[in-house]
Amino acid sequence: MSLRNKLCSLLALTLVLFSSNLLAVQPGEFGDTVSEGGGVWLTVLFWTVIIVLIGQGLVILGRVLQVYELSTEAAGTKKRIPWNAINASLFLIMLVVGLYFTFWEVKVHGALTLPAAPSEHGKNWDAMFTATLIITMFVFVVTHILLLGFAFKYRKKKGSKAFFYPHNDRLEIIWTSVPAVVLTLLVVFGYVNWNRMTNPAKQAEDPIVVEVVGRQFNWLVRYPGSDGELGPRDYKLITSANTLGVDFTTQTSHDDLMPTEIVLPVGKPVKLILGSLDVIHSAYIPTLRVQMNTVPGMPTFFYFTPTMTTDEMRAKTGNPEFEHLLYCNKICGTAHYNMAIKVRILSEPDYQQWLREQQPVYSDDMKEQLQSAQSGEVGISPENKSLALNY
Amino acid sequence: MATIATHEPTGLHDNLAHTPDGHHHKETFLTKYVFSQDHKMIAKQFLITGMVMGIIGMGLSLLFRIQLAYPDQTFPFLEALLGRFAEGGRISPSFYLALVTIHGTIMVFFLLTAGLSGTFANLLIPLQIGARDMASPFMNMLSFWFFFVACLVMLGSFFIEAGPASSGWTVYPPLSALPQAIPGSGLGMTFWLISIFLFIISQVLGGINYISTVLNMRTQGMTMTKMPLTTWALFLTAVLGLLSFPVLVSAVVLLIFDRSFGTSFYLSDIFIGGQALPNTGGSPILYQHLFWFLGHPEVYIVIMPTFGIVSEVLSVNARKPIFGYRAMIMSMMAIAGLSFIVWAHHMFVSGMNPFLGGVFMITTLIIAVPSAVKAFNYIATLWRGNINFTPQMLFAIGMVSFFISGGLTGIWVGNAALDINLHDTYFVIAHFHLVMGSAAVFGMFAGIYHWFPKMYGRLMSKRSGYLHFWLTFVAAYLVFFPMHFLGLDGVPRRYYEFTAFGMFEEWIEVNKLITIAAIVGGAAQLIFIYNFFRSIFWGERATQNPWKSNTLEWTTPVERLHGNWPGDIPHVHRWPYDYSKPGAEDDFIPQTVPYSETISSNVPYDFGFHGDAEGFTHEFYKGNKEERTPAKD
Ligand code: HEM
Ligand SMILES: [Cu+2]
Ligand SMILES: [Cu+2]
Repeated sequence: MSLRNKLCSLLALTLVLFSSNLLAVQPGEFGDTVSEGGGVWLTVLFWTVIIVLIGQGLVILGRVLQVYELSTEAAGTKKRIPWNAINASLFLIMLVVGLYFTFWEVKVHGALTLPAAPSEHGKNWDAMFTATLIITMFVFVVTHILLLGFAFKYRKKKGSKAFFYPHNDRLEIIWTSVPAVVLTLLVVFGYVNWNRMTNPAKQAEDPIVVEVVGRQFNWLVRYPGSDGELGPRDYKLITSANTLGVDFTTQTSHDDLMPTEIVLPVGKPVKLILGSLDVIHSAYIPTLRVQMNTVPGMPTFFYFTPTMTTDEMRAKTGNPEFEHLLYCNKICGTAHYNMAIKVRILSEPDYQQWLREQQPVYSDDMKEQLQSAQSGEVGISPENKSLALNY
Repeated sequence: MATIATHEPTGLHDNLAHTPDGHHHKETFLTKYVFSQDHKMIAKQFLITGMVMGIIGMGLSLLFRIQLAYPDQTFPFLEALLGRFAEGGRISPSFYLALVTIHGTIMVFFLLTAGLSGTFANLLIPLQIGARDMASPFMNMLSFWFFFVACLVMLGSFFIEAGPASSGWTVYPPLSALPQAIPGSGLGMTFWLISIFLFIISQVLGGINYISTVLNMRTQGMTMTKMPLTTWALFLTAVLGLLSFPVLVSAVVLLIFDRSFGTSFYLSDIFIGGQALPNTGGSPILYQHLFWFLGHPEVYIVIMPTFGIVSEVLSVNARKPIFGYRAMIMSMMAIAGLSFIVWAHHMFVSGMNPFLGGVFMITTLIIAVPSAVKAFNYIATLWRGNINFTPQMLFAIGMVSFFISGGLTGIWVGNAALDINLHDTYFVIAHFHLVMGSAAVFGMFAGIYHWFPKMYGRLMSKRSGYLHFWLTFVAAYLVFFPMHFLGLDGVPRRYYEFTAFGMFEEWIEVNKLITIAAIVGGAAQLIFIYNFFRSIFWGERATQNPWKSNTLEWTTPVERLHGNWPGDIPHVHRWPYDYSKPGAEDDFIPQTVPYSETISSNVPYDFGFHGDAEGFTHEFYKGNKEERTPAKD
């Protein structure tokens, strides 16, 4: 005990001596390596000392409580620290504080979440979100009132005895069937929506087709051009010029567009054809409630219809910088966090205007490059894979 | 106070596979502590190894939490600690991914699968069913050593030049298959695969043992419906593991083939590093099916043992029978069965046929029903109890709270349509850290506090336990609750920083809150570690049955003999939950007490009699009308 105390004061002394030094050390001030190494160990020492001191404090506190208990016992008052009542009360406090915290969270952090979806299926998503939130919140609150409330109410008291109550078939049937019914409702609701959102047979005719292809670490976009048909592509044809490996020997590929962002008209059904050149990525536009993985070797699809232009969203959210972004949402490598592309929703006339401005990839330039690549002059070198944003 | 006298077995029960027949007299340090074949020692080996892994896993998470909360500050100590992985005091993006990968792997497999099942199945199955040891003590020892080597290999991958595996704990190919895709997919991934392979061997060896022990070595009178829920849970867990881990083997083996032998099980049409790979015809989705066929049962492998632990702890400390014993068993069986047909809910937006998504949504939401039943039964167990707030009771109540919170968000992500926008966001992180990272861990803590006396013959300090619980409880909610809202804002998981596009910048403040709460929560674990190791040597000595519990393990002497009981193995006469039975002397009646000694408290239900008590007769009640309907208060 005494040795420990001595040790403790020694630590405290070191702490006082070093702390003035330490507090002065700012990140970035570590000029030369010597002071850097020293600074690091000082920091480590500092925190070790702090932790040991706190621990020591706790141990001493524990001792004091023990001594107190022993002395009251010796004095015959039999007044031990009522840990049972303390813990029970803490559960009650936890219940109140916890419920407050929950509503605070919903209010404060909930306000930071996504705005209402400007897409057809997104509205269904939002409705389902609200229904699920209400149901689960209700269950959350009720069960916690019961759980923590019972913990407080039925704490051990002098002379109290528990009620022998091993089972009640009727009660159990009730609380099996009520969740079953509620979940059935949610399943039906969810199933109908899921079907509507993803079943290809249920989608609108003649959607605008956009191909989005992920690779480490950016997205490539392709529009079918005036013929409305995407040219075929083959990963073996990929070169630094022909990043998607489009087969330009076919006529349908000659008018394909490859813009650097995704632009869509409002109110028109869209079919995203998703692909990947290397590993799995995931095309995720949270603001539009869109997500589908992109899988090498297998095309995937997502259908949706935007209902508001980006400008309208800016006005509605009061955020002049609002943008839809398509993120990568499947771990795909070192720069996974830095792989997004802008999605702009325009009014129909603006969209047509934008479309007119786009040049097909199969330009004279491209032709030349392809020819030279074929003759082997330009080896297939990796595309620029810098981490730069692609918008 | 182990005296040799109590050591000497007298009559031995005939169902033993293993008897304490004196060979422990020659026990050396090596056979006693290292290559031990005693189930209690192996349990402690699993526990301590699991705890060490858990601490490491937690340390890794604190490292990446620092990166998330302070993305543009430098921390020189990181460079001192991690060297080339954190040049200039900032964790590198690829090492960030390595951290989350190894954190997830360690926590899910090494702490919450091996550390949890390994500890409690080994410790409790023989003790609670009345067996001298496991069916095969030797296989049991092998199980631990395979696990131990798996841990070493996994940790060893930190010393590889390019760093450990970094494709997430689910290691989806092609990312995990192609070394050119990410540095960690080189040698680091090979280590990961070897480690997991060893780990699966360990699980299968252990699982076979647990199952055969439960099925064959129960003492006389211990029918399946008199088994404590803990044993039931551990038994069903072992069944799940035995059926699902081999499927992970196939996933891993095919991945090894793709990586090293040029096959194309998972690879197709890939252009990477400026090169078109020759592989065609493979499917990355195949891997996901195989992985999640294990992966979903795996999450129940993690939570199920804690169902058992918590059932026991709640009942003992509320001094009440667990509510709905049979419903508890049935719901666990339902969960175990259903957990095999829900795996593709992890793949709603993987690109698989949307029709499948619909089917798996239905099965997934069905599994929420038995889960709900469990939660309600726990609450009903507390109702009108006489609750004694030991640390294990606090943790058990905390477990129920987290299980409810996390289970409810399961309903969100289990809904395929909602999952479109929630998949792979922080919402999923919140979901599974509440059910796994909090509920299962709390269940494990409850088990440790409760059965510590059975492992070390001493008690852990209660006051430290209280502090440990309250700090951890509050910290865990502060860490994981706000994450739901990040997810609802569409913040993807596994992002090195949120500042790349400016869209998620508002969450950095929240990240700071989370990180600080995580550090506090981490510090609270130091209290636990201190308490644990101090109590091993200096804790208050335990009595034989410190919690006044009914189950068989508390009939063994405090000294923890090889072979468990000095004399005959006790016989079992009743279910394990006769707490506060009206008419009984004490507020508990151990399983070893025959009904003939408790005439005053018997009820017709004890004999499986459901009907009108008036019409009930039994040999104990020879014509005595008074005693026929006892217990009416
Ligand atoms: C009420 C029952 C539950 C349901 C309906 C449910 C449903 C789901 C679903 C649908 C997902 C996939 C989410 C996504 O990736 O988008 C998921 C993820 C997960 N769940 Fe649950 N869950 C339940 C309980 C549990 C329990 C008890 C545990 C573990 C103890 C657990 C652990 C996990 C884990 C670890 C993941 C994430 C895996 C990953 O992507 O890394 N869940 N859950
Ligand atoms: Cu990615
Ligand atoms: Cu699952």
